[in-house]
Amino acid sequence: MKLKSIKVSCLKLPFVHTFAHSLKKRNYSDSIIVKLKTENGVTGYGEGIAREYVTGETVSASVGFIMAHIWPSIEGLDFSTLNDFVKAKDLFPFLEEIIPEGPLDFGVIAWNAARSAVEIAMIDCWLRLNNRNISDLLPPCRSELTYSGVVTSTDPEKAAKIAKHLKLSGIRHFKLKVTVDHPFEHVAAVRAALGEELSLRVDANGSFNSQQAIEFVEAVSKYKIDVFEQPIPRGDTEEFKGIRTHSKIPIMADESIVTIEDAKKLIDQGCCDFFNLRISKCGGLGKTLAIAKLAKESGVKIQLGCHVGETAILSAAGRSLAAHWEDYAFLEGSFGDLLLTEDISTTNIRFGFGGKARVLKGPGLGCSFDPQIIEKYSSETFNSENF
Amino acid sequence: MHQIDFIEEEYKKQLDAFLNSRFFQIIENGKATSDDYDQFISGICSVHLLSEQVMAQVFSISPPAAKARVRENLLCEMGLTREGDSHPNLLRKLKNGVGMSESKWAKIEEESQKLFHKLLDAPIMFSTLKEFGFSIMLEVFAFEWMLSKLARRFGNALQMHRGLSASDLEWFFIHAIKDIQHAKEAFETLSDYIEYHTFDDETVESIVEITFRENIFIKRYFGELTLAEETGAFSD
Repeated sequence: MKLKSIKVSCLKLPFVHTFAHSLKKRNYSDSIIVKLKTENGVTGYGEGIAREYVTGETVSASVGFIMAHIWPSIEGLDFSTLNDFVKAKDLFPFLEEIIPEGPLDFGVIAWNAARSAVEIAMIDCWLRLNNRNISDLLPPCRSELTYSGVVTSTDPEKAAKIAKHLKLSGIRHFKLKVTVDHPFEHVAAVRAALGEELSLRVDANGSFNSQQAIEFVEAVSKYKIDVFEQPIPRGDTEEFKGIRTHSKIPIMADESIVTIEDAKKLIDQGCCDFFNLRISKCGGLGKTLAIAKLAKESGVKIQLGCHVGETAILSAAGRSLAAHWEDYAFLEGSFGDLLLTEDISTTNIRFGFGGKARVLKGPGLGCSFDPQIIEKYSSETFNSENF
Repeated sequence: MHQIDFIEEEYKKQLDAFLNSRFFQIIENGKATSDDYDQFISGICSVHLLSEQVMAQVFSISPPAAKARVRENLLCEMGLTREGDSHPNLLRKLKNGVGMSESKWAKIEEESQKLFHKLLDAPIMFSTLKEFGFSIMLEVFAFEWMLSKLARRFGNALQMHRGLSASDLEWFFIHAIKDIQHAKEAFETLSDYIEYHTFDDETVESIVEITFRENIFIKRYFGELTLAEETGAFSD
């Protein structure tokens, strides 16, 4: 059964409230949704989130790469060839081979958002064609997962208020976005709101320099911070390592880890204690799995993170990945309509009280997606001729 | 009392944003197109076709002190008091007055049920029914409070600018009268509920803020994209 057509939708899906961190303030999701269709009309959905300050991709460049390079490489693919791959460890390398990585231009580090969107769509499509669930590829180790709450960097009073709301919702793990403006007050206010027992991590999204990062660690160590994520910008790994050396708080890399080469370098130089892996940032399920394997073998702990504004597609993919991993430190994502004014799945898959959510059991990624809702929020669409 | 004041303040914020919204203003001042009026009527209908069901939910969780009061409200919605027709039937009267096709009405009923499904399908973010129930109650009563102030203005706008008769618009004019009483009773019921469950100030404030993190009037009546337009979500 051959892959016949593609439709790429650029979403503009409003948020319930502004989501801000040091690098960007957002009011809407700008996800790229890929819909693939086979000859017999079976469809599959994938999602990628382009972040110029992470992978170098913009939405328009990613869409261009999908239509000009990825689609021509996979159009007409006979999905029955995938049936030979019973296990994920065989399927994902095959998909990596056929989904092109380049050319790398326009300052792009890796076309990971573009590849993520197509890879996930291919997996979803193939699974639905065979009436299978993603747990066949990624057998779960657990049936229920626990997500973190995220407190965005607004003023300390507002940050404390958001923290209290999430605490009322039973959330036990928190991440606070911090910036160089008022970082100490933020942390103090949120810790006061949460009490002493709940887990609190901080994420600077690379907004500090080394000196600021070290001073920050000194000032906030008393607030029981479990992880300090991406203290300085992606770039100098020696500097990153230097912060870890001086820090009493474990260090997590996020924007510094986009490719497996990044991972190897960070591991070899002993730069961090954790990796924040995000499916779209890392280039899809296959690449994320590969980096996670490397991390595990090297003693680096992992967090499965998310992109702000992910829809149910990436949420479902992330759910299956986290459920499959024997061990991970923290889990983010599946905010659904807590952040999006409306999510695109036909059933609501976000987490509930306590940050809890169950493994999804429907065909494909585990849930269905509503093409009418996707259409409603699409600002632009690009079709292959025969869609 | 201060907790009720906090709730009423939130209701006022929701109302003010609604009154200042472009869509409300063009509906009232006659600058809306006939498609806009029909979209507004569709929004009203798809939300309030659920009124019996949502009021039944509120009745089911009412504390003893509020039970009789809320039951009366529910019976009113269902048309089982002296005053006559069920409120959803009054919406069907509106539909006939507008000359809406059966297929269009079927779509509205479908939208209404989709909304109901969404409400039931959402994972609950509270540990017990008492908090979740409070959130439902806050939202249902917010609409009654708002309609006590705006239902007549809506009715007048549709009469003047959409050419509908007072009879077609009975739903609006009934709510303009009945919801004055219901709005007053809403605060009594909320107060009874808070007392029954011994909610502290922080819990009340948090649930109020969570419930009203968006403008529910704009979202329910005019849709998510209009809400985004009003909040400037798409301006970079």
